[in-house]
Amino acid sequence: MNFLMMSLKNVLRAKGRAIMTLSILSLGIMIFIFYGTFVEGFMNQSIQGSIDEEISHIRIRALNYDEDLPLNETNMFYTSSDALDKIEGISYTPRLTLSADLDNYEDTLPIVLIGIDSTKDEQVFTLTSTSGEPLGDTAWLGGSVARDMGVNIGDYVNLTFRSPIGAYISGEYEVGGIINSGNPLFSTQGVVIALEELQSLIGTNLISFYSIKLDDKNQLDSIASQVKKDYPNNEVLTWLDLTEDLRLLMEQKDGMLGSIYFIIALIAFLGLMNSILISVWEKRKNTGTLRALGYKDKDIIKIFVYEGFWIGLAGSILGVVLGILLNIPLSTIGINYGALATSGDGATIDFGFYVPNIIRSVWNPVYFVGPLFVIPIVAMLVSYFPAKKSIQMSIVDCIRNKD
Amino acid sequence: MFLETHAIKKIYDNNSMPFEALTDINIVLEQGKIGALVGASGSGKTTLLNIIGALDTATEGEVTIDGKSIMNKTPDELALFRREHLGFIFQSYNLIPVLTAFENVALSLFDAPDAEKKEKVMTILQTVGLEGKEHSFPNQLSGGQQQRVSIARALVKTPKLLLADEPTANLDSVTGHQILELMAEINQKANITILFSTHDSRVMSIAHKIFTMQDGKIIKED
Repeated sequence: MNFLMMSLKNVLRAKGRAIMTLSILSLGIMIFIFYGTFVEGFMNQSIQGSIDEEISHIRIRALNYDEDLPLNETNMFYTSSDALDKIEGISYTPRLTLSADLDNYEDTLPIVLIGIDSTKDEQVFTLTSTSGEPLGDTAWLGGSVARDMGVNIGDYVNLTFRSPIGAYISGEYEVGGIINSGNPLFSTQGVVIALEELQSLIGTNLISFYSIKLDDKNQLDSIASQVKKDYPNNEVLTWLDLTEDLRLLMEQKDGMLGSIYFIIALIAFLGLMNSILISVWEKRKNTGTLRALGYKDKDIIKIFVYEGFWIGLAGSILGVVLGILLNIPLSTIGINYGALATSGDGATIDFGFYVPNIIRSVWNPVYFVGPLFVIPIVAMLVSYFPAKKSIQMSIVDCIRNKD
Repeated sequence: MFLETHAIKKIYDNNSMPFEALTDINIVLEQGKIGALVGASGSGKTTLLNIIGALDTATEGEVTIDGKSIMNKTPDELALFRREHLGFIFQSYNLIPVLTAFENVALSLFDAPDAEKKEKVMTILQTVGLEGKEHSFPNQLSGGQQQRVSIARALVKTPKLLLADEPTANLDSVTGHQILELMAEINQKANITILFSTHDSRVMSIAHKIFTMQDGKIIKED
């Protein structure tokens, strides 16, 4: 007997129950696809955004760099960029960061002052301002900084900071642009001025980093090794080192999502087990008859395990279709997370890592093909336990349809 | 002897209150004969039929069919024994509702090749008068037709022993009579041993041996 087809007929006969079970299953799969593709898209964008605006592929910095001491001289260094000029397939730019106070003549806000070399910077980073004008001798303010201080393009602000030798330095700047970035360094803390200007104010040609962009990311290891050889007195880090915290954070999020998946799977498969159990109970006369005809216990179990397979297959196909339909707008239009992450007073919430304004999901086949194979198999395994009930009842009681 | 039971006893333990459903049952039926277990409801007919059919186990005693004991076998061994040697006809037909008449009958042929299945099933459906009904589902058939499918399912594998539990109980008198005539004809043509449990006095007219039961005992053998 072809039990696979018989099971399909059984499932089709109990349409109402099958539809309810596979609806739960498909909803679970759709949520799995939604979270998977969305979080992966978010993670990819976060890391790419950090690379594009802040860290690039390789960073050269001072030995014993201490992120808690940005003004300490040990965080700055000077070294010639001649060796970098000789490496093919890269672009590089220096940056200098200092802690400073921003004053709009009413309030003062602690900020991170970033000096950039406009010409070289745009070859490495994609940092832009809303004005579209070059930096020149103006200052670009992070979106939240400008909002918090109530300043706009064309207004003037005062920047105060200490030089490496402890002298207070102050300068007035016209706001030349607002930086619209999901990177908290720029959005909630950053103020950008020209590197040359900043170096002249503190009377030194020290920098905080050289940031290197690779034409071919696959060259990361070889070029990083070359840079380490060329700059033995500096610390050389790759984007993998510099995004470790972010990636760890994402892994924690994956763990949380894993818990959500588990709960969804538990609900879906408990529903399936319940459905199979009802089926076992409803068909006990049939199973009793088959056993009387000489079918073995394993044959009887197959009937219900195959029912689980069909429900699992139909549920996974429906779930994947729903997931695809949901992912089309999510991957193209995306979700305006920037708007969602803005608090009531208009300030952007600082999550401590790059959050893209528009989060778009990805098309990763794992999320779409995986359930089509995994769910029917898991559904069969899950169905085995209620299916065993069918052979635990006596044949005589089954035939008589007796409790 | 083809079918022989020796000192069969069946005790049910209902909530620690033992109930002796069968006591010292000894019956003998020769090959090709029709036997009938008759008696009032609760006399133990179906219990005995179930034990002989290896659907239930006796508390004590032994059943041998064609010289083979069916006692002390594993569930899989019993399943194989039923598959190879026994045919069942149930009072309420017990057809699988999602399968057609053809598929229900073919259930008894297990892993036989498709061509063989088709030939045997179509032949037996013709024998029981259901030619042209092979694609009908049970709910599209009358009670009599369903019982004919059930008979076809039991006979298609040519069993050594056919066990029929009140096969005419759910049928009107005319249809019941036709079913009994059909079974008598099959018994004569195929030399299949048949054991009925029945209330139907007409069965007695086709039976070679009648075992009258009362309170779990054989009180008369004709």
